[in-house]
Amino acid sequence: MAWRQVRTSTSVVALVLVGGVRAIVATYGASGGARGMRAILPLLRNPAVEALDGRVTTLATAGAYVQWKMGAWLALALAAWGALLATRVTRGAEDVGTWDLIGVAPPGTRRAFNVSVAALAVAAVVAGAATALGLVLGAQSLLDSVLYGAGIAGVVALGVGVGLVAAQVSAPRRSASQVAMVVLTVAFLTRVVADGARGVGSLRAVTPFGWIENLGAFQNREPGWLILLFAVPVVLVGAARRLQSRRDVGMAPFARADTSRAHLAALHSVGGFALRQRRPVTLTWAGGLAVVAVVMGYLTHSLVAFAHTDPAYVALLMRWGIGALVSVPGFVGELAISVSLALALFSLAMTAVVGADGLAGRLDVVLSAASRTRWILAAWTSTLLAAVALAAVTGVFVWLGVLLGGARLSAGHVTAAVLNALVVVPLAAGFGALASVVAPRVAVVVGSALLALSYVVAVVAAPLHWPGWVSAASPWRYLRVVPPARAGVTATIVLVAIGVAFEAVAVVVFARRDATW
Amino acid sequence: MTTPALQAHGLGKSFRGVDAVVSLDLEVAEGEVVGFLGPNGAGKSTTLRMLLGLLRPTTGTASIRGHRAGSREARADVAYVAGDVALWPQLTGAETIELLTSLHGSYDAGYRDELVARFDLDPSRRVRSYSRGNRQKVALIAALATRAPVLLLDEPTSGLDPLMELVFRECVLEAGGRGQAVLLSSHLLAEVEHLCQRVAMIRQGRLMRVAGVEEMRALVDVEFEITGDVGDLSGVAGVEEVTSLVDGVRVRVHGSPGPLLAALATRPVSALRTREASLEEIFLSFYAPASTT
Repeated sequence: MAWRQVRTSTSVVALVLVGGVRAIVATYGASGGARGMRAILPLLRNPAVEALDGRVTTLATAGAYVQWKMGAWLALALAAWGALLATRVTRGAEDVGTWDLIGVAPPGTRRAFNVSVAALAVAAVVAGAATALGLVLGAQSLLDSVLYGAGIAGVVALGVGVGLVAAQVSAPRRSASQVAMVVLTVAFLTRVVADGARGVGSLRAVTPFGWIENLGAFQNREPGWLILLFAVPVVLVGAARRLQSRRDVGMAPFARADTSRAHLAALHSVGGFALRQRRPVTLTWAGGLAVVAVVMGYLTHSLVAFAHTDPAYVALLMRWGIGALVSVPGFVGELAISVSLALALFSLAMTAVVGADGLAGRLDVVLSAASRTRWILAAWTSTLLAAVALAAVTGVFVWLGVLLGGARLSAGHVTAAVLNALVVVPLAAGFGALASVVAPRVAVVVGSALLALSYVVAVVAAPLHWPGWVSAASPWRYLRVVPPARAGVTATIVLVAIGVAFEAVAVVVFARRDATW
Repeated sequence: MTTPALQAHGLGKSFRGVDAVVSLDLEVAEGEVVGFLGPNGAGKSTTLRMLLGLLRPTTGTASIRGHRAGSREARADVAYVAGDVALWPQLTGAETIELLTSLHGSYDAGYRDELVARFDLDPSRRVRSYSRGNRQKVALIAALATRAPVLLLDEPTSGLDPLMELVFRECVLEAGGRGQAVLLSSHLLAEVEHLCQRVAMIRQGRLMRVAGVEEMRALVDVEFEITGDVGDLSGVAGVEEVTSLVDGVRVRVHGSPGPLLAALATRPVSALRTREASLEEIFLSFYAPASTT
């Protein structure tokens, strides 16, 4: 049961890791290899860059480059994935009453917990093995690849441990997931401070995101850190098991209040409810994007200023196809394209809520009263509105960050950049809607993987000199860097039209199919 | 001729070649409460979901007050309670009722408040903290408060305690009295016997019989306990089985009891008791053979 719940996302994560790592290895060579990296090492050792992407010791091999380029954020993403899987298979199962049934059967909830831990451990090992495989396929050192893969497995296991403990102390699943995310965010910020501020590097020793850095794969190899990366998850699992055995099924010491004053404002129409349903997630995303936007905005001035002092760096950026980074508007334009991936993933997930509600059986009663067409259109339009709000928040905070960092940026440039970031949103939302009515069980996982893959393909196609047809199917291939460029009107119209077409097909399919899930 | 509140004609549904419902004909008139009985997997829920427009029929048609099932007009005229109610866990009971009644389009706010009191529901609690019975109450209150002309109820009391079940019965009888048509799928045969004027029995997707409860009783054997030395009754028409008792006999009769009563008229009977078949016995007489295969 637990394995069934984790196997799809584990498979997708494994595929993305193998492909993603392999692609980053390839970009290393295309960027001039060790010589090219030496040219930009002074820039990368900028405290702001190290705070964001991690400490740079040497980029003498593609493996070291992968570890730095992907390492910090990949570790955070995978730890979060592990934590979310853990809360899903434990607290999530309790929320829906599955463990009530298991609890009365002879094996009991203790066995269910152990089986869940086993399934999650497999997921962690698979993620680590996939990372190592991607490196080995890129002709990197087997020993270092395995060392780094083990570190990744340890980080996932740590996320799992945090999620398991959170699931014991907090309910429902959403609250448990939030608790786990807060813990992981604090751990990540500790790593950010350790890498970014001078004189506090020892803080790396107190956060798992520092441990995997200290592991030194492809550099100075300190495998001793693996002990912490695996011992702490074991302790956390043990603690979670103990907590679980001491409480009643379905209960938690810190459960969210079960009563609330009724807020009826947005419950009188399908559209109002669609907006209300997406509000909490939108607010969470807005907070996250605001932080990233203000930090990146703040770094803009120093990064652009550095570029102008080093012609070799400018040449490298040109070779990578991101020469726009040498100006403040261009940097913000490139940043907006990165944000567009986040907005696309958000939009996909928000329209796929239709399928999730259907699978949970919540649509039977509402669709006996409300129009299916209206329901799925409301999901799409409310998602678009939420994405526009997120883009606006991002724009405001980038602009604020740029000003705080001492650069100037016109409101027109910010507006153009965030509008450009929104071009892919109707397409992603339409795709999510269609996937949720055609294949609701895998809509988010497979859809997210496809979006991420098409983004990576568009980014690496130019530096790797891939033939045009490889990236032709990626919507990001058609996004210009706005500003300084102007948006391509034809490309914008076509991308939006494809999104509308996806939604139209979703409406027709949803209206004609049986409301079974 | 009055349009039936609910009508199914030749209704059928196949899932990947497997017939779930086959050529089902059923009508429910305004103000009529009809029980819909059948064992698990007989096709009751599939039929109800076709009447709601949630499933597209493979054959035949379904309509609500003359409008195609699932159409805007039909949706406005029907309210539905599912057997296992799934709702948004983060909403409170009050918010859920508001959402469901608002989506329906029209509802009686005063009656809704009355129902909340009668079903003894705490609407300030979030759905995730509700028991199954309380979730059922939320769905029932929302459906009844719409005062929809047609109520489709799919095992609506499966999570309710006996007190709330009584409240439910009162509400359904009131709904019928107001002219609302009710199709009630239930495994609680006493409930169906108490509420329904007619009963539709379905088996393996096929409608076996639609009749009043009394008419159903005539279809099954009736037992007579006769006190006195009445002699041999085994040769009387309709008598299926005779069992000796201390002071008389027990006779099981199939069909009309007329010949038995005529025979007894000339014999020394000191007491005569009959026991009508309960709906449960009728149900078992319909389905027991199939369950043993």
